[in-house]
Amino acid sequence: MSLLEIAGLSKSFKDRVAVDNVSFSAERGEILCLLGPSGCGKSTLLRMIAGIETPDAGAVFYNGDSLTGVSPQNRGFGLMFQDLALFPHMDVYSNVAFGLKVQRIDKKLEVKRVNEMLDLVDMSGYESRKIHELSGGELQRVALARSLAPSPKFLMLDEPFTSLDRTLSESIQRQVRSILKSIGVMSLFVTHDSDEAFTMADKLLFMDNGQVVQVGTPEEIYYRPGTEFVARSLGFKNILQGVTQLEGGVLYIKTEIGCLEINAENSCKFADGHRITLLIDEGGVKVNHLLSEEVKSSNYFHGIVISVSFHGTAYEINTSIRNSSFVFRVHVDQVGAPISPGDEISLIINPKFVRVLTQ
Amino acid sequence: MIKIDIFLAITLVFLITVFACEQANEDSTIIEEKDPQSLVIVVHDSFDISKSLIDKFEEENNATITIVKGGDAGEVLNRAILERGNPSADLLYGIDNTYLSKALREDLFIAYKSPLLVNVPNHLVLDKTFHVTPIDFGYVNINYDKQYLIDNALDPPVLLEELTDSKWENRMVVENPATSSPGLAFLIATISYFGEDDEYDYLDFWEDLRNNGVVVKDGWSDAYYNDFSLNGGDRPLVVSYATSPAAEVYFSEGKYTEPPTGNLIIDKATFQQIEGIGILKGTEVEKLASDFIDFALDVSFQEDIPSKMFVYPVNRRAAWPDFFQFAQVPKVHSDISHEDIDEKREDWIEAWVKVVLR
Amino acid sequence: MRFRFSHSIILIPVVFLSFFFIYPLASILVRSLEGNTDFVFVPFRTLFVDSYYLGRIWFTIWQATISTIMSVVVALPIAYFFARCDFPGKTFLKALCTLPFVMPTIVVAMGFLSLFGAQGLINTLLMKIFELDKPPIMLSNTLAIIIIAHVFYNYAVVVRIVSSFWSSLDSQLEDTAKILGGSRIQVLCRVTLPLISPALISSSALAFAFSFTSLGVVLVLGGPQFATLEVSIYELTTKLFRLPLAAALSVVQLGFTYLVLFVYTRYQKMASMQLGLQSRGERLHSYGRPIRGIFIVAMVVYIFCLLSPLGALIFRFFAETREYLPFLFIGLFSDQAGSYFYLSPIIVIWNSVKFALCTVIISTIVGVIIAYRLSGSQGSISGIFDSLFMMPLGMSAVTLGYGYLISFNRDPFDLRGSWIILVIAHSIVAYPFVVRSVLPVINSMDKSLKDAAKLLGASQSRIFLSVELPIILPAILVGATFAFAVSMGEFGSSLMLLRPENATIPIAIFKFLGLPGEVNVGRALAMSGLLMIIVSLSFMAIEKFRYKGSGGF
Repeated sequence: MSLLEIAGLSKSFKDRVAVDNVSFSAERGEILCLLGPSGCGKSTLLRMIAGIETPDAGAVFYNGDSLTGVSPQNRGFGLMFQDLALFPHMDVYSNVAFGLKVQRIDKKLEVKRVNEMLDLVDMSGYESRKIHELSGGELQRVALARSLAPSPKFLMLDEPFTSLDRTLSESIQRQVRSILKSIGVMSLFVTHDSDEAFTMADKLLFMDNGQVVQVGTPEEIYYRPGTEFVARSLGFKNILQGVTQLEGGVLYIKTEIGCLEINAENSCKFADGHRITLLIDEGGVKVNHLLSEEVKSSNYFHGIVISVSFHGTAYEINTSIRNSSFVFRVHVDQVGAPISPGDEISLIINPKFVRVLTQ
Repeated sequence: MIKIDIFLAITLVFLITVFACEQANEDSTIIEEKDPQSLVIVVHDSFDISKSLIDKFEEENNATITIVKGGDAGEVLNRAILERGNPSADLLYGIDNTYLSKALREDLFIAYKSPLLVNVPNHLVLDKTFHVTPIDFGYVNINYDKQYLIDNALDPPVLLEELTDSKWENRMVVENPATSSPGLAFLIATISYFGEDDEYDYLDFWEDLRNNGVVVKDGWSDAYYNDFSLNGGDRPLVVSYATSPAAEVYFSEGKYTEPPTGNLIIDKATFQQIEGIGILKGTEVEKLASDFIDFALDVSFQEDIPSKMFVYPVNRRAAWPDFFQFAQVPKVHSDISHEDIDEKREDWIEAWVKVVLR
Repeated sequence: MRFRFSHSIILIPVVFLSFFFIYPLASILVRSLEGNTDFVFVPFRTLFVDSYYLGRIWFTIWQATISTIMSVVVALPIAYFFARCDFPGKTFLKALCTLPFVMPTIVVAMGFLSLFGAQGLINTLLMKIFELDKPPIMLSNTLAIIIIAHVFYNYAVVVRIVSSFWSSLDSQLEDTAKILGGSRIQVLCRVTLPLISPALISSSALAFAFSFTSLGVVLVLGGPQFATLEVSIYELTTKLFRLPLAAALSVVQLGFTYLVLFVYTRYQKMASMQLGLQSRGERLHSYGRPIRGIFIVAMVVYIFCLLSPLGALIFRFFAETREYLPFLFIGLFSDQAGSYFYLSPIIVIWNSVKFALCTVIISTIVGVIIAYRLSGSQGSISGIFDSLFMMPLGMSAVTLGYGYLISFNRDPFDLRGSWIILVIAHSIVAYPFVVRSVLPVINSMDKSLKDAAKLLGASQSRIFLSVELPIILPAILVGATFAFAVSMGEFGSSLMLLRPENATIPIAIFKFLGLPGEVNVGRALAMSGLLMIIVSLSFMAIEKFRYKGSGGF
């Protein structure tokens, strides 16, 4: 059994199901990331794990012991809220020291620990500052120091970086990850930003409509997104439905834009006539101006450019194939003549870059 | 924002309604008036009279009467003193014999000798200068709860001294003479009964009464409705009026044919309170005001008094209602003159407060 | 040209107060000292030499302190309950909770009597159970009953102001404290109480001022042996007519009230912080269903216990009048005796409601402007003004009534007999409630909201209407509720200023209790019942409006 085990947590409010039978587990020192859109039940899940919300069903196990009925203050977990919830009536020191003071630990130890924590988040010298005198990034770091000070067994952070601007957010993310890793605290981030998730996480959890739809390492999830929802959450745009068709050991998928051949490794998994969802990686395509002579190759498609944008090493081409829109990235070297909106182009999709969503 | 608009709209509608109503009221009074003279009478809170009588006076004299209540007897007088020279009223009703001298000294009134005074016994006409004309009188005495006395095998006391006996311990409630007119009246009655400089004077009595657990309340209503055992309290003796038992019958919707309370009529231990009316200096309708005094002394007005104010009419020709059979009239009441009361009231009250309250 | 909306609008309350508060007050002072200038200091000397009056001052202070502490202690659980729990019937319960505030003291005294009195429900019950011959609980005319009555009157003030503030407070702060390992007590003491302290201070200042100047409760329930300063002033003014001494006592009382309020406002300034208050509705909260259910039931029982004197009154009413209940109502709605002063209850209710609503309008406008202006000013000056604006709390309604009588008796301001003067008197007493309810919220509001609106080009008034007002609206409604209640229940100045045809419900009640006889008690209780019903309905209407107004989920 893992150190932390979440087993079948459920909670509904009035007629709305907020969390529906959620289970996952975490190991010592692991950083988990919970991804999902707003209102998918992430916050409620966190509040239940923290013990401030009572689940309708299910339980949380730490080290094999059920925490049902254990009050939040006795769980030894940490939770950092989205808006940080720093105590406005206390200064920085008192905020960080709060978790230590309530345990009535020795004053010297308390001062030492607070200094360590402020040092860790690079906020030494701010002890007597008032909360409303701090900037966004500083608030973030104080809140983190406060959460870490009582050495939580498990730290949860609810969208901690959303209020920061992108550059600041990225640098803080890296700092926080290295701080968490250096102390080795097991933690769980909530976010709706996949970049942030990939920066932070050892393990990703995807949540939709109150349910966990996929769990895995960043790589696993990136290469094998389970559902269209997960794929879209990860930023994949080219998603289409199709029906399998086995022809001489090769798996073809009949889709709205035509027939697609996909990688052989998948071929044995599917029977004929199976409905599946596909995604085409942005980079998995060769693009050319429409050639006069037709090259009858498999995975050859014909599209009209809607828009083109330049991204340093690549062009992002938004193209329409049989009235469905796709976005591809093409390395600048691969594009011979400039491509502009309205051009007719040919696209050859590499089967290796076509993935079948596993569920 | 819409909510605030709604709020403002509601406010506006309400204000319009209020002012429309006010306007309507004023319009209706304007139509009725044919240049009538206005007569304002300030009365104490216990004043009440039939509307038909007032209507009759208004009609006969082409007048409009406004009656303003201004607190108890003392407050009404103080108010008149504050407003001296520019009175808000033409007549002041409610000067009793505890305030008569003060009112006369303050020179608030115009003298008027009503021809109807011939029907009033001479001893009730205290002001021989006729600045204040008597209208009614009453008695302050002790009431007792009949059922309580029966339940506890007690006989009504026949002497005030008995009240300091341990069998009456914690069984009496009185009003504070500093704040209540029946309270002051009863204090004066005890002075009349025990005397001021006797071996056992009124202060000795009050000291014993205090040691016997008497409770003091600031007003009659508090004492009667919160401490008197008849109304849920724990004390069977209360300082009230001689007419209270009669009122208990009158206000019982037929539940009582006999009063549930009785009067302790002890010689010299009851206080006779005579209430009068006077024309305030500065009035512009002196004639009308004096007509009203005649009207108030007239039989129809006088006969209305018992069932409205539960006091006795001064006009000896006025008949009493049936239920006043339970309102006994003490034969020998207190004998302290109104001049004495005026002169010594504050000393008495202060001495009393020191003995009983501090 | 820099015409500042916020600077000039303050003139409205300043003029209003100068004219209707300071001027009448000064008139009384001048009148009482008329003609003998060397007499000015004599009353003060009397006051401070006479151990009696020193004793009164001391008694007044400490009974008010105890009453305030008790009110806060009793009110806090209910404030928490209303702030953090949602359940059907909450609006109704909240309205009930505020009922005591409007009940005339003599009616409340009868309620206490029906409950704790020698023949009251509790004693009768105890005597039956334990077969006692004497009632075991004797509270009448004790200090205890004064304190209990003050708590009974004032707890609603604390509940309303604190729960309104508490509900807009971010509950994550408390959750965080819990997660960081704080026990319930620690979270309460270290986080919750400091955070709600602005509202707590505000409401306890009101409760203190009310207990400090309490008249009816002390007079009716305690008796003269427990005279407070206000009682002494009342006696000296209305009965003994020793105006100079009364004026001196009034000055002392006002001085003390000012001092206390000044300390409070200073502390309030220190405690104020930006809390990012949100105009959100109450949150569903955190306990499991069974625990929440038990908590709700417990709180409802607790509230009903607090209200039991009123319950006992209703019980008494039906027990005593069952033989002639129909007559009672016939007697109320038609006047068989043909009294000149007879007024139908419908007119009396209309009068009461009319005065109360006008009071709400005036006191809300005055109160909100003052609160808004006070929140903007800085430093020690604001403390001085803040406490100055609270002065009417330390003022007895009786004295104010007298002041009006002698100040507004000449043209063009001969307002005697006009009901407008009464509404003004009520507004003077009521607007401090609006200020105290609104000020903590304005002070704790996130200033960046206002700045953001300013940057978007909104004018000062526009900012107020579209940004600030929605956030402070719940607090304004709390203040308005109390303004309404103050006016509905006010008696002292009403009696002095009102013509009989404008009688309000409390005056009608007093009129019935001025005569002996069961029917009169029955009628008084029936009128009290009407008062309770009207007030509950009005509070619920205000509450409904508040729900919509404050958005919420």
